[in-house]
Amino acid sequence: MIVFQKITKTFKSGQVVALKNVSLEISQGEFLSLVGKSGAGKSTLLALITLEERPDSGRILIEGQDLSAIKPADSFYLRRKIGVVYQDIKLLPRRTAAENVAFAMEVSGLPDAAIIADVPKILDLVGLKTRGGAFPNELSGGEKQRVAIARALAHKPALLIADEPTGNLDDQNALEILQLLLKINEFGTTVILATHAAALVNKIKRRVVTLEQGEITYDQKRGRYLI
Amino acid sequence: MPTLISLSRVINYGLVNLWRHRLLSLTAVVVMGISMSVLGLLLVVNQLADLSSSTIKDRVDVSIFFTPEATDDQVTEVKAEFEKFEEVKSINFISAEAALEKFKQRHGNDPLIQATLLELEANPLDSTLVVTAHDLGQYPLLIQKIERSRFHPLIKEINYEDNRALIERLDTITQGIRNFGVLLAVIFGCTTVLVTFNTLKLTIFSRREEIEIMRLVGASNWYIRGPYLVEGTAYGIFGGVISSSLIYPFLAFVEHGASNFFGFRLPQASFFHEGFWLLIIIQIGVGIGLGVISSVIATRRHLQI
Ligand SMILES: Nc1ncnc2c1ncn2[C@@H]1O[C@H](COP(=O)(O)OP(=O)(O)OP(=O)(O)O)[C@@H](O)[C@H]1O
Ligand SMILES: [Mg+2]
Repeated sequence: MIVFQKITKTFKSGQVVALKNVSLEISQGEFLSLVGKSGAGKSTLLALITLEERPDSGRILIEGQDLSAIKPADSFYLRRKIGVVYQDIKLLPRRTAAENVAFAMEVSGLPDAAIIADVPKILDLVGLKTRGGAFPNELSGGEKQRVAIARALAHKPALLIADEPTGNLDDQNALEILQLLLKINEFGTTVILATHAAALVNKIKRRVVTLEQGEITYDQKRGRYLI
Repeated sequence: MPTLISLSRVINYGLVNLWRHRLLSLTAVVVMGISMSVLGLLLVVNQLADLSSSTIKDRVDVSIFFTPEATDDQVTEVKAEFEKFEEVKSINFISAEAALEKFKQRHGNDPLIQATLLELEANPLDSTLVVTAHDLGQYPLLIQKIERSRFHPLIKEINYEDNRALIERLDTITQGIRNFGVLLAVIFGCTTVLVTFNTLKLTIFSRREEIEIMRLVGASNWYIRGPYLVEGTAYGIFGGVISSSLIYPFLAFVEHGASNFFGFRLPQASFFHEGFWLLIIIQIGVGIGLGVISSVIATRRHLQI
């Protein structure tokens, strides 16, 4: 589904090397954990998929399409096929949980009827059935993450990208979020999870790719996170 | 392709935006309204200047008065001859009898004049040819030609009031008004674009979080820019409506004076009558134009990713 071919990405005109010669293949329906220390290049790799960043060299293919052929003005089309949970959550503070989810659906052009019907279902799926009317500052960290996941799922993407969704959560909450992502994966959505929570990834026995200073050092089918 | 749903959402966002920061919007609308009022005034003044200069030009003519001995047939012959001059645009023949008839009619209710006329045996008025030229500059030559023609003995008097100096001065003033008007319109236009642009820039900044998320969840550029285009357009419409409603009483007030000045009702097509709709359309149209230009610049500069 997604192919990275010898991707290099630098910042500040080459001073900071975020990704070095990264090659990676992700299949449809896979659950992939991307692990590595802070600054290893996880978020950068994800940003390349959503066209927020462009590689310095190398090629990225999604469903056979070369991303370098997509003009910035057309990137929205790709983004509609991808749901993203951001490291910094990015919920609109003055909209309720339900409105945040509905906003994403409006933007992608879904009709009102579908939005009204789907928002409660999605909130139910992430376990926030009764919290739809709450504003982000009235929600706990875990609940905010759930809203962010709900929003990422709103337009029924084929690929869900979650960048550090468990970052500030206690073990119990982190595990619940992880289980939610696994459930979503079971429905057929490809999931890429970036995290540095070792214990968490060890539990799930799925593919783990390890990044160290911008390079892939391990790629384990059902592996344990080694660092 | 923007669907109908997206279009209605874009319009809705735009109007909601506008209402959310209504104080800021008000500034843009007021500036827009002032500019459109200035534009409207300039158009009206320009039209009045044009009308007055063409009215005066239309009234310039040469009257040739014939001696009482000249018969109507002779005068008709003269008319035919003079019509061959290339400078001549029209010649109107008023026979002595017709002139008298007209005079009587005009002073019909003045008993003193009526009595005087009765006492006179012969018609005191002359047969007259009223000649107009195609162009103001042609009158001196035309008069020379008439004086040198073989019919000169029949002519008692040639009456030409040389208004050229006056008309030229009027033309200079009209041109001056026009130049000044264009300058003024450009200044106000630029100011409007600047103020509107800044207003939109502020609203874009105040919503940059939302805009970023819109982008990230897959909003098209068109969808993100649309609301600001709607806002800019709305400023233009409101500004145009304001200026149109200001200019209406102004025109009603001026019309009275203008009609007195010209001595007749202003032309039907002028801004004072049917042309008023044109004036409204121009003001709202230009307002929309400026609004759209401002929002295009604002979104170009501040909505890039
Ligand atoms: N926009 C940017 N400008 C300059 N440097 C950047 C930029 N984005 C990332 N970097 C640098 O690139 C490297 C990789 O950053 P990245 O955000 O991908 O790390 P990460 O693995 O996601 O880290 P974390 O776990 O802390 O989120 C870091 O050294 C970072 O400082
Ligand atoms: Mg990161």
